[in-house]
Formats: sequence, C-alpha cells, structure tokens
Amino acid sequence: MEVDRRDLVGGLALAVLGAAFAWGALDLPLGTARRMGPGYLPLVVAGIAILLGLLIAVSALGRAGRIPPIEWRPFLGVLAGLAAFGIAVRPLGLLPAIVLAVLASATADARSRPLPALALALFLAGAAHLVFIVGLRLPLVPWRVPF
Amino acid sequence: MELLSNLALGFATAFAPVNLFYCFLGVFLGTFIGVLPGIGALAAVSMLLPVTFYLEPTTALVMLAGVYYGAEYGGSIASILLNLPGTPSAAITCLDGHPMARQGRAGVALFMTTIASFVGGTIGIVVLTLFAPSLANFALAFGPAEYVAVMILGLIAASAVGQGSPLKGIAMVVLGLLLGFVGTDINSGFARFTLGIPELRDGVSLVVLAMGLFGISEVIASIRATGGGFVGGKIALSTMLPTRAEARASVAPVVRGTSVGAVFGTLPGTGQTIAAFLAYALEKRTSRTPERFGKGAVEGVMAPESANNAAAQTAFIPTLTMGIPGSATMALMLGALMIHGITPGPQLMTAHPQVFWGLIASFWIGNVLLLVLNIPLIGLWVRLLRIPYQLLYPAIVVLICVGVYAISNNVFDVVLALVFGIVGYGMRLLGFEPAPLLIGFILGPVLEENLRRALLLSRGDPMVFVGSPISATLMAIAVGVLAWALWASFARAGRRRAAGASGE
Repeated sequence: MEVDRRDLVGGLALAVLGAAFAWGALDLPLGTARRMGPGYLPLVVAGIAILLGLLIAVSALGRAGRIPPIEWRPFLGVLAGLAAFGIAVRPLGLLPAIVLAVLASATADARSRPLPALALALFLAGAAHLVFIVGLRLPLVPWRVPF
Repeated sequence: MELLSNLALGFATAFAPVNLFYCFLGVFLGTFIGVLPGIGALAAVSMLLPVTFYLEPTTALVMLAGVYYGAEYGGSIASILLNLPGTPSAAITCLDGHPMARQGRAGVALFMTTIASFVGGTIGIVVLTLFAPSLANFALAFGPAEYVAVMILGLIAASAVGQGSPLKGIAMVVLGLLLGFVGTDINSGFARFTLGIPELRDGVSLVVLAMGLFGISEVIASIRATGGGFVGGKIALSTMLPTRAEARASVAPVVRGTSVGAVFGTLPGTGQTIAAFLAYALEKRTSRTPERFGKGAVEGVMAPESANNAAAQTAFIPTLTMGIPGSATMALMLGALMIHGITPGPQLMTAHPQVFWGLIASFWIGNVLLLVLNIPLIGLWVRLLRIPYQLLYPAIVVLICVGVYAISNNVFDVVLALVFGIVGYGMRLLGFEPAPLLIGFILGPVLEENLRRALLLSRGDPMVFVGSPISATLMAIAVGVLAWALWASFARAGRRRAAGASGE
C-alpha cells in the first residue's frame, strides 16, 4: 500500500508529543471542570493533540508522498553559528561571539569564502557594537578575557 | 467630535520626536529586512522585538508596527526583481511584477507598488479609525464565556484558512496551546512541563519561539533557494513613472483591491496573503483582457498590493479592540503589548488612549514615510538585492543570536532558539505551518484563564459557552468553519487518492 511518509511521520510525531504532554499533565492536580486544577486543560488539549496526530497519520495511508530531503549543509551550518554564539558569549563577550557565529554559519553555504567571511565577521562585530552597545545601550559585555 | 480629539491626541503622541524617529527607524529596518528574500514580516518583527524592550511602550509599538508594514512593503520589491517573494503575502505580486521587470519596466512596477501600498494602507487606516472604537465598545460587554467563544473562533479560523491542510493547521494551533502551558500556572503556582529547568518557570519566551520557528528555519531554507533570476538594471526616477494609460487603468483595481483587503484583514485568521490572492483573482475575473494577466499587467500588481496593505492595517482591528490576533504577526504585536505590561482587550482604548491613538496616527505617518523614503531609496534596495546571499544570511544569524541573548542575557535562550530552529525546520519538511502554532501559543494562556473563570462562574456547566446570544453565534460559526475545514481536508485527500488510483 502507498503511504504518504510526510503525514505519517508528522502525525505520529504529533501524537507522541501529545502523549508526552498528557504524561506530564497526569503528575499535576487535575481538579474538576468547575474548579480546574493546573493539569485539567493541558490533559484535555494533549488528548486532542494525540487524536489529531493519529487522524493525520491515518489519512496518510493509501496515498503517495515523501519527505523532502534534509539540506544538511545549510541546516548544520546555521545551527553551528547559533551554537558558537551560545558557547562563546559568556566566557569571551559579545564581539568575539559574533565573529565566531559568522565564521561558523558561513559554512552553511558552499559559496562562502574564508576571507570575505572574516571581513564580514569583523564588520558585523563592529556594527553590533555601535548599534547594540553604543546606540541602544543594551547591557551586554563587549569582550572579556576568559583567564 | 470625540474622534477628532482622539486623533489629535494620537497625532500629538506620534509626532513626538522620539516616536517619529523610531517610526522612521522601524519603517526603514522593516523594508530592509522585507527586501531580503525568505525573511518575512514575522521574522522581521520578532528579530527587532528585543530591541524595543528598553523603549516606552508607545514608542516600542510604533517602531514594531513600522517594521511590520515596512517589511510588507519591502517584500514586494524582491517579488518584482527576483521573482522570489520577500514575504508570503507578496507572492502574488511575482505573477505580474516580475514579467514587468523582465520587460524593462521594473521602475514602473516598483513605483506603482509604492502608490498602491500607500492608498491601500491609508484607506485601511481610515477603516480602522472609524470602526475600532465601536467594536471595542461592543466587546466591553463580553464576559469570560464570550471571550472563550471569540478565541475559539479565532483559533479555528487561523488554522482553517491557512495555505496548507486545515487538519494540520488545527494540529499546529493545538501544539501552540500546549507550548503555552509551559511555565508556572498563575492560578495554583504549580510549575507545568518545565522538565526541572528553572528558566522555563516563566514559560517559553515568545521571541525565542518566533525566532526559532520562523527566523532560523527560514534562513536554512533560503540558503539553497536563492541565487539567479535578478533583473534590475538601472532604475532612475524617469523610468519609474507610468504612462497615462497605465495610471488610469490602475484606479479601479486599487479601489477593488483595497475593499477586498479591508474586509478580509478584519476577519481573524484570514490575513493579507488571502486578501492579496482574492484581489488578484477578482481583478482577473473582472478584466476585459484576462489573457494579459501573468504577462506584466499593471492591474495584477496594483490590486494585490493595495489589498495586502489595506489588510495589514485592518488586521489591527480585532487585535487592538478584542485582543484576538488575526495573524501570527498580530500575535507578536499582542505579545509586545503584554511584555510592556499592557493588557490587550477592549479596555485598551480607554485605559491607554495615548498608546492606541498614538499607534493609529503613527500608522499613517509610517505610510507617508514609506512613500517619501522608498521612491528615492528604491535604488538602494535594488543594490541590496545584488549582495550575494552568503554575505547576508550570516548577518541575519547574528541578529537572531543577539536578539535572543539580549532578552535576559541568558545562554539558555540561545539554546532554546536552537531547539526551536530544529523543530521549525522539521515542521517545514513535514509540511506543518508555524503561523497557527504561534497564534495558539499567544492565545493559550488567555484562553485558559477565561475558560476557567467562565466555568467557575457557571459552576462547571459547559452550557455557559452557548448561553448568551453572542457566544452561541460565535460558537456556531466556529463549528461551521471547523466542519467545512475538515470536510474540505478529507475531500481533498479523497480526490488525491482517486487521482492516484486512476493513474496506475
């Protein structure tokens, strides 16, 4: 039988998420419809999520469909940019974190070249300093010596 | 006469130098981000939301509103020059805008778009000014049960009228509601679904969620999608003016487009994309020469652009008068109000008149700014589109990082944005739209509060939601929309199945 993989996977994932929320809601006092506890409505909504997930999965049976391929390079590259920022911003400060985020995220596109990426990184760090710290006076530390 | 004094207050607020400056900044940055392909108004507003945390509430909203319609406007520039919509609502502008550009009339298309946007936006503001006060008065009589009914209708409409399958849209609203439960329950003080992480006690941050689902996944998706197709050439002011015949042919489409946009913007859940599509379809149907459409007909640009911008303004009617967002971007605007400690709802207009009327006056100033800014700046936007995308998207990544981190100087928010980025990309691959999720997320806590209050007052009797004529009517419409959406969903699946079977 043909199966729409896209909706099958999506529907089942939703049902699993709903089940996880329902599981968490059972740990909370439920109360009654008149005096709802903190778990009452989440349990109801999680139940609806499970139902909808299963409906989507069932409707996927009997028709063809596939999941578009993951674009690994843009996907991992952009996430690496965020991760680099998150790792560096505490110990090194904002500007080094921006430089690292730009260099890491540049790997997402095959057309990126090292020197333009470095120039862009320095430019954006300078611009961010001017806009966020000098201009908007956000309480951010521009740089820090980690040791 | 009350209207005049209110408008006077509004303009006095909006013309304050600080508000004027941030209105300008918002419009400029919004257009800038809107021009970049793949990044829409929603991502633009969520990226700049943290920047407004340190501003006065009115100033913050004036700036965000400027970002919003600036981005809507900017989206059409990328549509015309790249055949790649900068925003979803500008997608229809590609159909005739890009052929015009290929015929060497990009300047005319851009100029006419600006005019259509301005006219549509201005009339949208007039509609907003005239109807918002009476609607807010009407909504003041709402009790918790009526609120629940309005919100359920809004949620169902938001999911059913999206581009994708209604069933999946409803599923996303429900997922948004679930995410909205995360954090401390205000009634009982219980921590819900925090997984023991202290940062989650305050709930999932709206900015983090929006940036992850829209910003990050849009950047990932647009890295491959861009490149090629640019037709700009040199655009001088002299090449921008339309011929007399074109100008005359544009009047009626703008009037029709604006009417369609003004009506559909007001309805919760429909939004500008639908308005633009309908205006285009209407124009093609009423035209005596429909075969010209898709080949660079100026009417095919004017009607959807005026509809889009009229809807962008009237979408504020349900948002500001009832606290019910008509679109995900409106949901973000509501979130911005709440972040600044202002409770959205019918009492907004009386409790914070300077916010409400200042905002409305700033819309108009913003539209004038768009007009005077963009005719001279079109050259700049054209040059911006020539910058290779590999030098633009890292800047967007940096903006997301700084925006998320600056919320509370906490690395956890960056990590959470990364997680939502992965979720958002997965949703994109699986064909789930993030916009209904965001609407569910914003409305969830308000819905729960009113639901609990209504059931407490009625001693647990669920009939309270159909007890009053207002709530009964709203519930009936909601059920009708839901039934229609589900029926359409299954009918489509059935048709596809039948088509697949006959193809074998």
